[in-house]
Amino acid sequence: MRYLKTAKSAVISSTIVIALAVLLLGIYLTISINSVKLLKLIRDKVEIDAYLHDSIQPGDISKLTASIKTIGGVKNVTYISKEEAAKIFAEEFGQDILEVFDYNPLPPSLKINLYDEYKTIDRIEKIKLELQKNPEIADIVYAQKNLEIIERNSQSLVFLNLSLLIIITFSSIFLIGNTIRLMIVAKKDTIEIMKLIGATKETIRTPFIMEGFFQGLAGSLLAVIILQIFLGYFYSTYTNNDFNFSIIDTKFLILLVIFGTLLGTLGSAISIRRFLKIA
Amino acid sequence: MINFNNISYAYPSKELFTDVSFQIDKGEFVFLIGESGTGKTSLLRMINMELFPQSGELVVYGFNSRYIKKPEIPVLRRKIGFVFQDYKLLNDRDVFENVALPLYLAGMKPDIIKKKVYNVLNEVGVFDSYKKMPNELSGGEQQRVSIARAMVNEPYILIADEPTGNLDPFVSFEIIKLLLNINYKGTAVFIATHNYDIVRRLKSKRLLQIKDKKVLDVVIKE
Repeated sequence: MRYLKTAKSAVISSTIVIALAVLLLGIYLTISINSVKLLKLIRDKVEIDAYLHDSIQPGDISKLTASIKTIGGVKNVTYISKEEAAKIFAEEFGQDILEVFDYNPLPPSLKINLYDEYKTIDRIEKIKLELQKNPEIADIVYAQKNLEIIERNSQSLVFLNLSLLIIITFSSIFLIGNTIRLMIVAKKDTIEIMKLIGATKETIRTPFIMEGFFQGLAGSLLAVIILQIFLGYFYSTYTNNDFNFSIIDTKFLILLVIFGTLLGTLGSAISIRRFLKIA
Repeated sequence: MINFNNISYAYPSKELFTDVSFQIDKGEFVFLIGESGTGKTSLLRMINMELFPQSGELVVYGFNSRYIKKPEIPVLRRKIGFVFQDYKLLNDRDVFENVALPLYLAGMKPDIIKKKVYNVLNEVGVFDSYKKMPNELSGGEQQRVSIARAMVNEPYILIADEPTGNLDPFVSFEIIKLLLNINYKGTAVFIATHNYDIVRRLKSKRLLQIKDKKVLDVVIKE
């Protein structure tokens, strides 16, 4: 391969372009994965609280619980007594309810968990209608506003994600293709001279493709290293008890390296083809 | 060795040759003359199978322009030494590497390449410059390197397209003397030129002229 010398600055610049493209894709995927995860977390926390009348009898509670469990979409039902409600209040607000009111105004309630696919406003409203048929239930509450935000934004998020993915992928391919093409254009005379003195197409093509392969590999490895450093910082900054910031796993990083290497190789192969069309 | 049989060729805007027939044999030294634009370069490019006749048949070392397959074209080109008016040296590598290029392409071993390159550089008189870059050489030296590159593969024929076009008269004649020497050792030489001074000085050599879309053998009168 000695006969095809490489211009160092051109190799460095196209390697950096590949690194930037892969880095951009990696950052996008991290944001995308974590935003989807965040929405899922909010949705997972959605449950129905059915507040009962204070006068409800223990026998009625078990009957009511059994009847609610038969409603489609209900995963499980947990009874929270007035005393337990007071305990939860104390845990969340750090104050004894009896100190505030002299009596416990918190009603007993049923915490109703739903299957994921039933955590939509439409379906919860239907379940709510079923629940309202029970006279023991005084009030029904769920995080309607949160769900509204999720439903409104999840569609836009999918659209945004797809659009960004398409834009990033195409601009990466375009950017890398152009950089490599410019590099090959710079070697147009060399290619022309080699053709005139009897080099076969394979002889000319192979070093360019190999060069593209190594640039792709080097660029994407560089991107993955930078990505890991960035993500390490984000992980330590944004992970807390409620939200566990996801780092792209090793398998995904390997896929990114393969993607970058393929981009480099294919970019070279396609660009060099143009210059070899004439025999 | 090279056989043009009733060749015609035209560019979209201009007809160059009609029914051209001639032959170049082993060991010949032939000049090709003609006014600018008559098709001297196109004719040479046909021999290198860069251009293909639109009618007729061109046979170069048994490769027929009608039937040659694309992968065979590089094989043919490696049997021809081509010298260009603008030298076509690779400016990003030194003299040695430029001359060694056809041998690398032929897949030769480094020690053989080294030996062959030193020999041919010695033969054309630029051995001392083998480490220099093309832009450090004069026009005449660059043309010598170009001739060395064309000769290093020991081709059957050396084709030169206006090899003295960019050189002063003295250096031009030195280059022609070098080509004569190459021919003397058995390689056929085919030179396209409009340097009539040189042609006149070597009137004993065969002279082809492109005129009125034909290629004719001519004899220079005293």
